[in-house]
Amino acid sequence: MSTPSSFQFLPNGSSLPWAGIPEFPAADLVQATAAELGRGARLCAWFGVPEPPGARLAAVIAFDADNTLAVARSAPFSGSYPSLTATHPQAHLFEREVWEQHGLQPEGHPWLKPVRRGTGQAPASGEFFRVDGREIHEVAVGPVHAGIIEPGHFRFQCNGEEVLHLEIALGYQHRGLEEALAGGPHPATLSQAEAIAGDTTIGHATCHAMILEALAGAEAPLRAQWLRALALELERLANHTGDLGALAGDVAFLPTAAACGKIRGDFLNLTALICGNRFGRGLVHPGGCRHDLEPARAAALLEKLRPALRDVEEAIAWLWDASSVRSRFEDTGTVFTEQAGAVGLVGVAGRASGLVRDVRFDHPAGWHRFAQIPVAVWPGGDVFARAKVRCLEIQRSGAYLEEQLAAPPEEGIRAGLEPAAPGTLAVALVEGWRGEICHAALTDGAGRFRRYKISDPSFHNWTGLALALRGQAISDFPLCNKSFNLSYCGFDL
Amino acid sequence: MFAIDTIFHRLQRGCQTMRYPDGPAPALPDRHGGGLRVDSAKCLPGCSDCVPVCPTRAITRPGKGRLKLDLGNCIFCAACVEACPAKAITQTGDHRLAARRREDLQLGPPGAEQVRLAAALDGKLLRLFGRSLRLRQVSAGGCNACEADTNVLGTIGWDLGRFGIQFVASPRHADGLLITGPVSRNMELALRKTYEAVPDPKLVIALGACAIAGGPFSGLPPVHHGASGLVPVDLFIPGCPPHPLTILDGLLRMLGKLEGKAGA
Amino acid sequence: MSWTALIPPLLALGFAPLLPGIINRTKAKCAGRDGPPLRQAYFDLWKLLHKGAVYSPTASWVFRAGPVLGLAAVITALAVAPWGGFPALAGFRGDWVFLACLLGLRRFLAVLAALDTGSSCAGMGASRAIHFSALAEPALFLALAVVARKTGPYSLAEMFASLSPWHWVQSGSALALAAGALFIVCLADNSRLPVDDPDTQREPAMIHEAMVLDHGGPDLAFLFYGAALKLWVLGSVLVSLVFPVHPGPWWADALLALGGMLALAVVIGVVESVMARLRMLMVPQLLVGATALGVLALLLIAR
Repeated sequence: MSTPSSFQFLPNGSSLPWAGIPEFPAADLVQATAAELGRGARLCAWFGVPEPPGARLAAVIAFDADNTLAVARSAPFSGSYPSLTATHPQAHLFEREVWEQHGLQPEGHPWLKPVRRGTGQAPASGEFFRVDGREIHEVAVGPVHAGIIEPGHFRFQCNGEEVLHLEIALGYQHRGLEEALAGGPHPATLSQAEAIAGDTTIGHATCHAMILEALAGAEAPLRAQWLRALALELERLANHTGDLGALAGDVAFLPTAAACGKIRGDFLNLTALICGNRFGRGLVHPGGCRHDLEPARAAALLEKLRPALRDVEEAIAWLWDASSVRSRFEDTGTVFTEQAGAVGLVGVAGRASGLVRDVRFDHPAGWHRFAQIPVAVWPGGDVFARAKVRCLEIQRSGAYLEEQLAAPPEEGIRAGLEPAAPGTLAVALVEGWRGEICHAALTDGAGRFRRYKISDPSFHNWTGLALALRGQAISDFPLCNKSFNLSYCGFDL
Repeated sequence: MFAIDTIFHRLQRGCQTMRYPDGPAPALPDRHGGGLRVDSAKCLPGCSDCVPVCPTRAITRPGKGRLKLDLGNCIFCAACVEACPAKAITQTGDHRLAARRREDLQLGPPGAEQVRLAAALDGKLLRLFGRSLRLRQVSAGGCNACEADTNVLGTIGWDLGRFGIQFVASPRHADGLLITGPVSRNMELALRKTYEAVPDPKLVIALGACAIAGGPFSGLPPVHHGASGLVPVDLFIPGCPPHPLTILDGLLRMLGKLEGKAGA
Repeated sequence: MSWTALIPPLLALGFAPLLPGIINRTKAKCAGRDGPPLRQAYFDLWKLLHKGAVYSPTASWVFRAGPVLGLAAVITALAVAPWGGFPALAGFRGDWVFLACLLGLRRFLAVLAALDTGSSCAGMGASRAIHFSALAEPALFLALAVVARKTGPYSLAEMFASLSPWHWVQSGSALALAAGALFIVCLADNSRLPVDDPDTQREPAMIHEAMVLDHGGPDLAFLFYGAALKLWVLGSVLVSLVFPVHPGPWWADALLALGGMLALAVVIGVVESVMARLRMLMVPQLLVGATALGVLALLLIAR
């Protein structure tokens, strides 16, 4: 670091004593965080830890260029504090969440509403941003919307076919996971962590395992880290292929839609080859992995991987060859680089708006410390860019898998873990296929979870979808939504 | 030129839909394990090693009573199989898991070592839905894995459409609901309204451990224990998530399409 | 009126649901899967007729009347539609306007029913449907005017019965342009790609499907059947133009015309399989393009 920071640094996947973390009065924490964000840091998590008289605020920020995370906290207080969102919009959902969970009110927050529960019975009740005018009409879609898709409520303010404003109200999938994890780990904790977002099982389970390993002051065996990295890339391949197929389906381009649907199943079967479950349930375990990838099995995996990669390349080539598809994708749902940076987009959506951020590159942990994947960036910010980033990542993940399957490390696949250290904060980041997953856990005096904070990449990125729809035709909404393909349940927890 | 390419590709590959149920079922992944079998007679006296390791508390062994395993709440993690010293709980490798009644998923008592598979619908409903079944999918607090595997059934390998089964956009067009997720309290109203909007006669299918009994989320305050307490359920398909083959088997079994078939 | 005039309407009533079946099967085969059986539409209609319906408390008699009156309108259109050179059941001079008005009436009733629900999605679908059909109608009239100029101002059935391959040799370019305009109108009015995706599951992108979201049971059966009949009617105009071969005995004419309809369904299926859907704001351009084709055809033939 060129200039010293008031925050305490810690690398990805490590822990430090809670008492040693710098403590500020709430307003000073906000100022310090704003200063760091102004210097180029990025907010990974902003959450509350209950402590009388109210709660403490905790901030986890990332210095991507310096490959380190940093933490700070406030003194416990209740009531209100000056809002961070007023100067840095990327904090807006975090502050609303803190207000909903702990009652700490951010003063000056431009749109203070609960995040998940809603003020009445349903999450879609309460005030929505309205545009008034003679030809303005309001369209509400959801929670149950057509297709096999999770529920969410979308409120459009339209002028004819053009969308002026979109507000997204989620919370329908709220299952109370953060509260359930508190007091743990319980017998159900690992399966709950795997089910935070079912299509990101490996991502969340790896993050959770890293937390427990950091709290125990240990690391998983190298072979387990290797296998986790492979499973993470397989998960990325399956989901990106499915997304491209779904994007093709949304513009009714049948060749690619049909082909990608099948190839996605092939990639899921590869994960099932390792652990029996197509989504990777039961593979990652704190301390290592529950199943091993022996040489014979790895050879079988490689043999099935290569044709699937060739098929998906072919299906993608058809997609880009069709001018009718390109005309639908280009200049639709654009999020400009400055907007993306201000709102704090991560993952595919961020990289498609020209932001170079990837946890595997900026904060390598586990096997990514030894083997890197080039970051796939495409400036443009439209649906085409997001689809293109997915294509690039498919190519690069495929190449990574072929390379790594040929060079497995020796050693065991699983080790026992010491009990978690008491009064310790651990932070872990993993680049899930949607983007950055962040888990932060604080243990109490007995080494059980006092507070477990989960930040799915969708928490950062739903705002990107709302921005992307401004000025677009409402009939392009399904396409834009699919180009982001965010998790409802990962957001709702 | 992609149009010519796709024509060549199609001529080369031909039809990629699997032969099942006219042919044998595709194999489950070898580490999948399939369903479970409970031989409570093999239990060691006083042993309850399997009870605390179950993440969803699906196993009970009250005092000196028999071992009971609720397959409806099972997430098939096989922790109990690993923990059991007497091999009372074993994996069957069988993909067929769907049942018509909730009690058919309770394993343990003599005669109930494995799941009692679903019977076909009765005459009138079978005549009505046997060749044309339209379902409305309701995701009520699920993690999206069951939804993903349901979507997979529409792809060209599985091709659900060839049986006349289709997912529709509106509950008014539907003949039944396919529910996933433990039914979060925030979705309860939407689920009820959707159920009421489906014209009679209607069916309800509960897909996955969450929709049957809450799954990994059972017992958490913001969710119910699955859909059975809220709407009458006609078909239960266990799994977390159920393999697409299990889902397809359940649907076809309910519609009576597996009788006398090679893949039954 | 000879008894052969009964053949086209009866064949239409019996075979119309086969058209969506063929289109879906073609799309499935192009995609590499088996697809639903050809008779799936019949199974669906039978089941829907035996189901109940759920009505919203805000809907009135307009909502319930829309589907059945719309079906009546399109069945009436069968009485004047040209098919295989057969005489029409109730043809008269200028009945091509009558045909267009009946199809328009069906659309109008569907839109009224959709607006009656008060749902914003149905309202959006209705406004799009009216917008696009208003742009498509001139193309339809121009194409029919081209044929009328060629054969004479008779009733539709007479016009197309007197059309022969010799006319194609004489004024092939004009007729081809008219056929092109008609094909685009056929795709647009029947909610086919590239204008509308019948399989789409996203409400903000729906046109026709949004209007039918609230109907169920027998109403939905009437709507599906009416849609199949409408595809048959417009399709028979197109096939009669493109394939004006009626050699002799009534059964030969019927078989050829039936083959033409089934071939049209396959062509629509292939078109849907290789084209992506147009951005909704571009659809008016496509329809104006169809009108331009019609104008050009008329100019060519008016010389």
